Amino acid sequence: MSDAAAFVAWLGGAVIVLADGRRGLAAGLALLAAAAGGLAWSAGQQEGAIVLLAGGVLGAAIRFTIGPEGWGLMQPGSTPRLLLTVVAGVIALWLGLAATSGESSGFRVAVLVALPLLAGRALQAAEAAVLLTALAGLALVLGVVSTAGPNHVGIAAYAVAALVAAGASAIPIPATPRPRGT
Amino acid sequence: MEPELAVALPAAGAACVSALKPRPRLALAAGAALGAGGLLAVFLSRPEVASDQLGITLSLSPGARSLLIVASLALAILVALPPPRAERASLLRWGLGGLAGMTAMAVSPNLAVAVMALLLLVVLQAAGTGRRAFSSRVRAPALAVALLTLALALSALTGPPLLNRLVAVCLVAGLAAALGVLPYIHEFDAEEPTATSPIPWLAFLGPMIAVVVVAHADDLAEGAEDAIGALLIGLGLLNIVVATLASWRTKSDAAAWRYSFIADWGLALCGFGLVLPEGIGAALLVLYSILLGRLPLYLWSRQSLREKAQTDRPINFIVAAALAGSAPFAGFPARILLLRAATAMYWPLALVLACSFLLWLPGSLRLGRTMGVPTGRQLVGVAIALTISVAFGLFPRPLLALAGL
Repeated sequence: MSDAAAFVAWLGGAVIVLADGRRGLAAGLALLAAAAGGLAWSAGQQEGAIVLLAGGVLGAAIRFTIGPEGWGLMQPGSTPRLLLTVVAGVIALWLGLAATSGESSGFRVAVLVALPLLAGRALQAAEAAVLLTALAGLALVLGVVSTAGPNHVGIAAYAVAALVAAGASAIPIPATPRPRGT
Repeated sequence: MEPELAVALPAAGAACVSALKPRPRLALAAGAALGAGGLLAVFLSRPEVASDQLGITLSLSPGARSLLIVASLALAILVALPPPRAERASLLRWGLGGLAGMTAMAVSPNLAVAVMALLLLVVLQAAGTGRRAFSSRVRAPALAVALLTLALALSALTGPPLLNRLVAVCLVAGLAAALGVLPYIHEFDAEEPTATSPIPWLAFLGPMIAVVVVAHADDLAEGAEDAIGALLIGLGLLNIVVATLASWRTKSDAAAWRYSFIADWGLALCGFGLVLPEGIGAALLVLYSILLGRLPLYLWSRQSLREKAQTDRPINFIVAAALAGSAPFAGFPARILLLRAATAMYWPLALVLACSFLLWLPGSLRLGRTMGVPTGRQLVGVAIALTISVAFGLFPRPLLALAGL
């Protein structure tokens, strides 16, 4: 199950990288939520998986209503982003399967592919909806990562991650006027 | 129950101030009462004693507890004596929101939950109305979150020894990106309201982020503690040299203030990197002096920065002396402790640090002049900040004891 989740994580990250419209971004976030839920489920954290999935899907539903119109998938000029999704996938596969061990292989590949994709998108994007979607995705990845290692804190960490993912999607996109005052 | 209340009460205070925006006095009273309740909860929480009321184990370290108390004091001074053209309610709302986030990071059982709280702060700050584009406000803190998450992910894996070094690099780079120090300086607009500018990352939230990241660093990068120390010291020295020179030579006075925060962070990073108790004590003293000295002085100087007023009165030289870390102000014992720690570890480092302290002088003289001639509330505020700085400079021991050092 974790291997399938790793593939879905790559797919979700790639859709977020390639989409500029709210539908595409929502689809990417929903895929990422499914992957995060799958990884938590395969780690034996069924309640955590449901909480993560719920938070991510709620975030995706909110994103579906806020942001630029349409899917906006692979618009002109998105070739470098397409290359990023492929290169990140290949490097994550190599790092996750050949260079590292510990945790499940699906966990390793999923985290190592989703993080650079989401971070790259957050650094490259100018549109607030895209940035907030990337941040919501980062929250889901954090939720998955929080239960790895010795400091496992159980469902509470998943709940916080889900809340942050939904909250980041619900933040109204601010205008940038020129206010006065300290 | 205290750690839970220490997070919840300031958060409720910030929410109350936002909800009661049409009635500023009521908002201020409600926010102040809830904020005071949060501070009381921090006071009452016993360091290192865990609370598990919500299914998650929360505890407060002595260093984080002392920082929360000092940050609350700084906020109280700023709300009581607000800078010209600043609304008390707005200052209180942003301050309480920041305090709630800082407390959440401080009490988190692991770095992952602390980074989630950091991510929430990034989003909330970006939701405010600023002059810079949304993307430029979010970019560097988002990079910090990504780098810290990568450090957490890599620390959960096993692999070649290089992996631990990579964790160390990600932790230090993430910390630098969150703070907005070199090599990840945040974009700065001198006219932007302080709450949505990079200043809160450097001067209010930053100290807690550093304490939390450094506290968890050893667990995450086992076997690479020396690499973390070396990276922090190297980054600290780089920031000291570049930021002190930039604070002196840059065209904009507001940018000069921003660089002065970064220079102080250079000292703090060196202190954290030295690991010895004297080094940690020096770093904490620098952070206290940022919260209670440099931040309020910067806010009270903003009006004269707008008016481009420059004066050479005695008060300007006293402020300059405080900013330069000369005796008897709070920066002085911090520098002494830092030199002692550096001498104990590797004496040429102490020599480099001692020489670098001289670089604070020209920039601080410039910043002192930008205070103009403080009058009224501003004068009272400057007097209080200088008095606190002298008190901490002469008697740093109680503060260090509060931090468990």
